[in-house]
Amino acid sequence: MDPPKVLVIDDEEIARISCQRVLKREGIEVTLAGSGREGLDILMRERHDLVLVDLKMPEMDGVEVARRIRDYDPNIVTIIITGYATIESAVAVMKEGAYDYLPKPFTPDELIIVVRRGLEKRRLDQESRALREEKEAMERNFITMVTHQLRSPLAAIYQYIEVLLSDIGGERSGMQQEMLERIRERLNGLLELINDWLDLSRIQAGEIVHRLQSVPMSQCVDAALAGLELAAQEKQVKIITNIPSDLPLVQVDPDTFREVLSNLIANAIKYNRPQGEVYIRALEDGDRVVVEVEDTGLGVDDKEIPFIFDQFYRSKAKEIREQQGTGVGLAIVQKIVRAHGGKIEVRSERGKGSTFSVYLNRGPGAKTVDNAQRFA
Amino acid sequence: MGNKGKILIVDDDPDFLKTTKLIIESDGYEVVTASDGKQGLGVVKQSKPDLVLLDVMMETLFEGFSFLGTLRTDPGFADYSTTPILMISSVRQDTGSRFSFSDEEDMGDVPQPDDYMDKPLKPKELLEKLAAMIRKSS
Repeated sequence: MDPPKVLVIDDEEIARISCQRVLKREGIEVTLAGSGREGLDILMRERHDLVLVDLKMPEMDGVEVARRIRDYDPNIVTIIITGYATIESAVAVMKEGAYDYLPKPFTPDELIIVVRRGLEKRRLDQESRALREEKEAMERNFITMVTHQLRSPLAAIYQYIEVLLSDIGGERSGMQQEMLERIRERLNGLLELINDWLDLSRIQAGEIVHRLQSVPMSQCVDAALAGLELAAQEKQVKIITNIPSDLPLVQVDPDTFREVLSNLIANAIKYNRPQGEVYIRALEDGDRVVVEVEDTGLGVDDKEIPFIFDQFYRSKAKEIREQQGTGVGLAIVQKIVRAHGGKIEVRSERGKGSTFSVYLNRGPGAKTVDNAQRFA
Repeated sequence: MGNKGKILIVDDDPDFLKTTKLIIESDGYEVVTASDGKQGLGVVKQSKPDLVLLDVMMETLFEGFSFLGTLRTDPGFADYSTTPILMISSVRQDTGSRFSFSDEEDMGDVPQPDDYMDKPLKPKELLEKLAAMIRKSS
C-alpha cells in the first residue's frame, strides 16, 4: 500500500518544517504549502489523504481553506492547527467540515496522535465506501443473475410441462397426469418465490420518493381489489370496505402501494376461515391517514409477531403452513411502506384474526384540491 | 396445417423454440424459427411471416430491440414494417422500467412491439393472443 500523504498548510516556515520532520519519521509522505491558495492548488493536482492547516494565515484563513477542501472533496480529512486563544473559532471550523483541531503549541506525540487518528478515519471511510459500492454492485448483479440464470431455465421447464399437460404432446395415463400436475404446482411455487424476490430487490426507497403523488385512498383500494375478487369468491370470504369520502388524499407511489394493499388483502383472504370477512377501512389520524385490513382468520401467535415482517419467515402454525406461501410478502409490504415514510403495525389474536394498520403521510393541501377534482 | 398463417419465432433458447413451436403448430399455424436476430431477419425476407414472436433477451440484452428497430424502420424491410410483433421476455413485465414498454420516457424513440407476454407461455393465452393480433393486422 502507498504511504499516507499529508499536506501541511502554514504560513510559518518553522511550523511547516517541524511538522514535516515529525511525520516523515512515521513513514508519512508530506507536502508543504505556505498559503491556503498554494495548498488548494496542490490538492487539485495531487491526491492527499489528510490536510493540516493553520487557522491564522494572511489572505485566506484556515476556515476558508477547510470550507473549500470540503467543497472540493469531502473525503479529505482536514485538521486545524490553532493557538490557545482561538479554540472557539476552531470549533467553528469543525462545523465547516474540519475533522479535528490541534492546539498550539503541541508536542510531536500530540501531532502524531491526531494525524494517525485522522488517517485512520480516512482509511475506514474509504473501506466502508468500497464495501458499500461492492455490496450495491453485488445486489445489482444478483438481480440480473436471478432473472436470467434462474428464472429462464425454470420458465423453459414450465413450458414443457404446459405443453405436456395440454394435449399437444400426446396422451398421458392418469398417474402421469397427476405427477405432471404436481410438478407444475411445485414449479409454480418456485417461480412465485423468484418473482417476489425480484420485487423485493427492485424496491429502491429513493425511487419511490420520486414517484409520490397525492391520490385518494379509495382509488388505491379499488386497484388492489381488482385482482382479488376471484380468490375471495373461491374461499367465500366477504370483503367490506369503508373509506370515508372526506378522507384526505394520501402521498403514495400508486404502483408499489397497490402491492402493499393487495398483499395485505390477499393474506387476509388466504388465512381467513371459509365464509369469513375482510374489513378494509381508512381513517384520519392527525397529519396521517391510516388504512386497516382486518380479517376473521387464524391470527398470529404473540411470540411470532416480531418476526412476521422478516424475509422468508413463515409461521410455525400448521394451519398457516398448509397454505402455499413464500415468506416474502410481508417483507415487501414493510419495505414499501417504509420507503413511503410510513409505518405498519399489526394486532392479532390466535383464532380470532389479525389487523394490519398502515400509516401514510397525507398529501399537501394545495395539490389536494387539484387532484381531488381530477379524480372526482 | 399451415392455412391459418405463418409465424416466425426468434429465440436463442432451443427449449423455448421447441415448446413454443409445438403450441403454435397445434393450433394450425405454420412455424419458422430463428435462434438469433440476424438469422431472424433473413428468415423474414425468405418466409414472409404473418407475425413474429420475438424474445427480448437474446444474446445481448438488446438484440431483440435491435431486431425490432430494423424491422420497423430499415428501408430494406419496408415490406414488413407493419408485421405484428409479439415480444416475449422472461423478465416479468414490471421488473423494472427498463422493460416496461409503457414507460415512454425510458424507452425514448425505440420502436414498440405490438404486444408482449412473459415466459413461461401458457398455451391457451398465447394462442388467444396470436389469434387476436393476426385478426387485427389483416
